[in-house]
Amino acid sequence: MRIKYLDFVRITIFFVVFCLIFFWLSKVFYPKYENRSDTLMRTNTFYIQPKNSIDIILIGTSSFLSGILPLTIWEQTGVPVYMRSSDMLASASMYYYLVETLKYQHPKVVVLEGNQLINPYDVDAHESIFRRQIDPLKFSLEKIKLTKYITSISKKQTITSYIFPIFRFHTRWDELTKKDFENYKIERYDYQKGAFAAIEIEPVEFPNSFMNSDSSSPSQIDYESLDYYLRIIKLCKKNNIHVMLVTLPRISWSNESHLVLQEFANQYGLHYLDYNLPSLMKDVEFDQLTDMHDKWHMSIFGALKTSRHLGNFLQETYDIPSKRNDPLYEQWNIDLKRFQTDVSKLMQE
Amino acid sequence: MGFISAIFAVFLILVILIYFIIPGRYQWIVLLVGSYVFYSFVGWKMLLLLIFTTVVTFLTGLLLGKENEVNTKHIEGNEKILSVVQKNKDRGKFEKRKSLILCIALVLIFGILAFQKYYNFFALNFNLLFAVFKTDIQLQMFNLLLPLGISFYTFQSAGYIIDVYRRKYSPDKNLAKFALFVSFFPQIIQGPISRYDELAIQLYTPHVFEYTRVKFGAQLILWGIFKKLVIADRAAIIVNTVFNNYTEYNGLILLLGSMFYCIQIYTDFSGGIDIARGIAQILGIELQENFKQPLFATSVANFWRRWHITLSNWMRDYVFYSLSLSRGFAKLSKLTRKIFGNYLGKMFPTVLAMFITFFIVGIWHGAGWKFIAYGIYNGFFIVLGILIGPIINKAAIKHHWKIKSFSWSFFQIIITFFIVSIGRFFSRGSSLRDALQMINATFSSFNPWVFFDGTMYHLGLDENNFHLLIFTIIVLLFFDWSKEKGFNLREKISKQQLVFRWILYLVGIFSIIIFGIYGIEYNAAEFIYKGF
Repeated sequence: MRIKYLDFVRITIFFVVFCLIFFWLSKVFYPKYENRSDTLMRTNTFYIQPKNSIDIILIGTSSFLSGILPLTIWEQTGVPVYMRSSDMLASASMYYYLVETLKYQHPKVVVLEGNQLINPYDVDAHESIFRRQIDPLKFSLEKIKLTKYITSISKKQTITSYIFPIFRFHTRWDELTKKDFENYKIERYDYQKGAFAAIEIEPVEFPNSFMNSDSSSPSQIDYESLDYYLRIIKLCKKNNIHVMLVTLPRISWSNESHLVLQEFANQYGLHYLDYNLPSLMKDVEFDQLTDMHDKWHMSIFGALKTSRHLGNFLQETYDIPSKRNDPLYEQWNIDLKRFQTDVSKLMQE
Repeated sequence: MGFISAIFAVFLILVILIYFIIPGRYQWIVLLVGSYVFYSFVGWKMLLLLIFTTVVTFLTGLLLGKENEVNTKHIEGNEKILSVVQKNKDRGKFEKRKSLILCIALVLIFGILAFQKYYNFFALNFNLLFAVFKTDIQLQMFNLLLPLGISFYTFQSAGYIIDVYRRKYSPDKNLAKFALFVSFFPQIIQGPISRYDELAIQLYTPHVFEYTRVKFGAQLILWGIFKKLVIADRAAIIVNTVFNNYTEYNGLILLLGSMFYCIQIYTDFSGGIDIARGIAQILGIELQENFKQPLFATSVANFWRRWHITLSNWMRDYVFYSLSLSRGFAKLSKLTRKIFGNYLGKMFPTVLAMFITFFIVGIWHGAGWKFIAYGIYNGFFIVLGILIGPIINKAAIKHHWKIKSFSWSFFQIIITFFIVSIGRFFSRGSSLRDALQMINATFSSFNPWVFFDGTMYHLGLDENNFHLLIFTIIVLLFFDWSKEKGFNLREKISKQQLVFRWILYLVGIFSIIIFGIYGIEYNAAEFIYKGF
């Protein structure tokens, strides 16, 4: 190939200029929605945790995000817990989230939300949610694999649009505002350790037939999801990590769903706590008037109750020592104080 | 593997790198392997059909070449011995044998095309016809897949053997090299339909990396992608809205839908051709232009000289001339002159050959009555032009019309665009009946208020996107107009300051990235002519 030196320099400079503009425009076009920045913040905070400092990892959907509070478990047990959940986290994303997590942490227990095992997933219908799950992840092989999985079952999505988000958000050209061009900064530290305490309360009346066996809710395992749940179990076994299943109160839950998950847990020797069960609801003193944020998510009041209960269960079952007085966890106590202040303010309101 | 995809970009970069790194004498092998890898993405069964056409064409070429050689040797070797009568007799024998070889080969290669593309159409109509007579004869329908680019490579191959038959050049003696001529990847999917004597030599010759040529090629690719993603696919949203719900619209909306389809199909097809030509140019190969500003055509005949030029030329050289210069047509001409007089009698065979040619052009576009109607519609206006052209010219001289003025040309361009747009109802409508209903609904009401009451913004594109479409069409017209006036914009740009040029290129690239119609919010559209 006869390419002159000057031509090579020209091509290189042009390419560099192109890249600079490309990445600047990518930033401009990327949506600045609040829930996007929340996910970014949670993930960023995870990445700055000291290596191998977390004993329990919670992986699930928005139901987990609002329903379990790591700082309450810390307060109760002194066990460091981190939430690696996102809105409607698909089972495939759960698996890759775990793989990514294990690069930085070696937890003793992984608490998995069970709902997704019976939820089939439409990757195109939930495309924006998928992006919120994937975009904050650091560039890695796992990120590529997860993207490849999505694009392999989607007719409309491409890997390049995940690697370079401008290929996805270029259609925003006619809705750009001043805010898009400003230096957009997100808060990088999430003192709630990946959780999202839902302050608003919506009294939810669970029907009398709730958890009776004549419900019409889905009660079959989704085989696509099963594959990823089994991969998670296998990966945890390989790394000597305990896995347990949890489902939190939601009005669309049913006894059939519970039985399917219980059978699955029994088959693979997993602990399973279903907070929809009347017995557990009684144990945590669940109150329909205050403990739900909406029909599918718990409010901070409900979350405080389940977190205390779950924390005790985890510590007793898996014998995890308290690190409350460990100087390496000083920040956890500072964050807890901040959290307690916020909660007490809320209680007064 | 479409032209506009990440996988194709990687493939292309690899091919270009290897092509320029290896010694020149092996470059054609890189192109051959690249072309077969590219086509293999279509499917191995389709690849077998391509190989079949290649082998049949190659062997036919050799056979015809041998016949030509033997014939020449025989005549020249016995120059003094043979009488003129004997020479003609012998030549006739050779020609008959050659015709038989040619016919068999054409039947074989066109047979695949005909079966894959037209069998179901034929069977459907056959069954409908026999159902009228209440017979039990029914032809079975098959789920046939049309191999991508089959029309293009079949026509290119057919052109080659006809040229060898006509002794235009000697046949290729290297099957692998010939396979490259048939399968050259930039052009196999949607053309242009190249001629062997123009393309083959370029494919087999070594090429060095030339910055300026590569830059021009890249510009052409960029312009092609812009036309496809920014204009064609944006116009397609309006076109699909109107054509898929045509019963909800009438008058000017339908006309506008059809006009936008003209813009869509032009930018889509010429965009694809520009990408193909740009890739070839980077590799040092010049492919023939397929479009010459068809939106500035001043008559339907003129339009077809500017639109899909390589197909029009193919039809002219291998169908129209073959018919109009045949013995049968010469006899017909004599007969019609006796019946209709000198002017009309002379015209009749030309007109008939034209009609047949456009009938084939129509059928080339697809299997369906609507495509036949599309061909006949265009044939009708071309013949009308031939017949009334001299009358208009006489009238113009008599009444001192300024036919060389801008206004006259503008008037002709508008009228031609209108006629072509109406014709598009046939090619884009889902059936002949739908097309006729749309034409009827177009002329049954006059509703100019649709341009002012916001209706335009409810045809699939919002206000901003609609305005952007109009703006990009103006840009397209400006580029075409400058080309029409012989103003070489690319040359002009290349003489500007580096910073200015780079700004232009970057604006072009980022216009595609930002304003292109792609991604999850849109249904990505394939190139239209890919399906032919």
